[in-house]
Amino acid sequence: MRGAGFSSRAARQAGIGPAGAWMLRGFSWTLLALLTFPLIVLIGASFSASDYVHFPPFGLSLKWYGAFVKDPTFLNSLILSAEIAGSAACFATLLGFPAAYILLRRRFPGRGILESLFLSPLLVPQIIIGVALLQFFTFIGIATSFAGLLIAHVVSVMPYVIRTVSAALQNLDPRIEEAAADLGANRLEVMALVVAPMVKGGLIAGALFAFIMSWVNVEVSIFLGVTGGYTLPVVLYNFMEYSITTVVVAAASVAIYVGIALVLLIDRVIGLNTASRL
Amino acid sequence: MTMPAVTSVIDYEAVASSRGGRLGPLREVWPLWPGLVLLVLAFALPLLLIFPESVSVKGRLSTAIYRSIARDSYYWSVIGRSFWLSLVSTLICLCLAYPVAYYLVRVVRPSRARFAYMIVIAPLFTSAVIRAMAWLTILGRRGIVNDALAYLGLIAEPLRMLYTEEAVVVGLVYIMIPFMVLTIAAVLENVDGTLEEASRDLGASPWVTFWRVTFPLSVPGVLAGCFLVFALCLSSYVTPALLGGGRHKVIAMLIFEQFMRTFNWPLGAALACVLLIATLLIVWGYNRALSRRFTTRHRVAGAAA
Repeated sequence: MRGAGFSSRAARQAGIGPAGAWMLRGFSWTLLALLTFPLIVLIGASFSASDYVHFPPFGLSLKWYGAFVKDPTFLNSLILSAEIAGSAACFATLLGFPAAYILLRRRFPGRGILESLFLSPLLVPQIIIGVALLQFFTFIGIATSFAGLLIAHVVSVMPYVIRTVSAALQNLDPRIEEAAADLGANRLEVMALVVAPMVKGGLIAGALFAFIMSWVNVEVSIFLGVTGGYTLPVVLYNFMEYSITTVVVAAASVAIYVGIALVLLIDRVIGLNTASRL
Repeated sequence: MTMPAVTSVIDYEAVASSRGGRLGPLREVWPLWPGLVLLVLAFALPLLLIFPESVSVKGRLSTAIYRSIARDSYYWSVIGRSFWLSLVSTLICLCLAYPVAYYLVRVVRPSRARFAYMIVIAPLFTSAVIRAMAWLTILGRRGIVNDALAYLGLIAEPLRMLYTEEAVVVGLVYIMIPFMVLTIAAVLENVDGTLEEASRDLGASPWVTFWRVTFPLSVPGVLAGCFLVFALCLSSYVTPALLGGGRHKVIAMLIFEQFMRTFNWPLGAALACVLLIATLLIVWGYNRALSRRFTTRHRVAGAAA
């Protein structure tokens, strides 16, 4: 609850006084501007007419976006990234929603341990998940398959679905589910026909979170190339180890546009103030 | 923490045991099985298998790899650099993020809060690779910083800013600021503002009020934010690799090299175990810091009552 215990804005600032408030305002907006600055530089540089990466751009042109679309390396990686992120979001939501529901509603032995296990992919460094899965998938023979990469992404993003859906479920009155059960709905029906529609916003936001976390992932994907291609961030990484030209920056900008679109979507669905607290 | 927890009124355990004997509870929770199976087979098991890889030398159990790591000053220097860069980045992050978190919770006009939060969160939706690319553009020989300094006549030759430890710190701080801001803001929101009002009413200056009332109450958030950011810095690979140019090695880069370049997997696995244990210790500290928040609140509530 924002500013609990404050009656007015003047009272909210009582702690630091008006002069302090002005200093904070200046400092904060400067830092917020600096946070956006690198992305603006990159997007600005992508419109350059020259292939030398520079901001402000040398001339204005969309030709590097054209080059990006025509280059099969970039286009295939963009498609692979979208396929992986889309499928990972679906699977993570399908597996994560029932798990979040059970973990919140049922009391059973080992519940605390299971809850920690379901959230633990957030605690383990991504690079370690990457090497662990590389080693394991090599052992069972799926190291360079689409399925292997997808499984790795589902595991990495499922905790985001669980946290988002749990937050939505907490506002739900369990008596509604009880009523549905009393009226003859079985467990699956209660979950699919009663609970899911009521936490629709949480489910959509959870899936969007899962999508974006898969979309930006590089530290797991980098270990798990699929035969014939890598996801977009990994392709960008490989280019950057040698040199960057404007077409690489244009590819990065396309990835940024997808990210910005998802920020706006999540804001529409649950509000970023809520999202920031997950 | 901010939402009222609604607990189930159905006694599921009784229902479960009446139906299925000892396995009843397990059968009752079937909806979480698919996710659980996936996590056990494709997360927990692979993670546990790293350790055997690191202690088997030619098929025999041996701690030779760990001993060779411990003896070699090269590994110590890499581990030392990892910790040092993470520490510096964390402290800079804290100094920059705390005022912003305070601003977001206490000062910002509600009409602008949404926009401000969006700016804080938006970078999280961009890959670390892309954010490193942005810094390469900004700090390069002909980047905007060198251009500006040359234009102002402050430098004759472009400064070499990339591929230094400083560039790595800049990149890490940039990536971590949102995490620090959000963690501290979450705790500050639960600090009772009437305590600050009381302090001011009793004649304390804003400065004294901040340092003796607000800040001490937000310490759990500061600690949690520092633990979180430190752990993320310590295990980050992309930023040091791209902005450090491969010259300033950190532990994550060593692990990557063993698995992807030199194919010395046992050594990579041993280094991964070292990093994993360090991270888990930090996570433990993070959880302790956050649970302290509640005891602090209880103490304050108790003192106020």
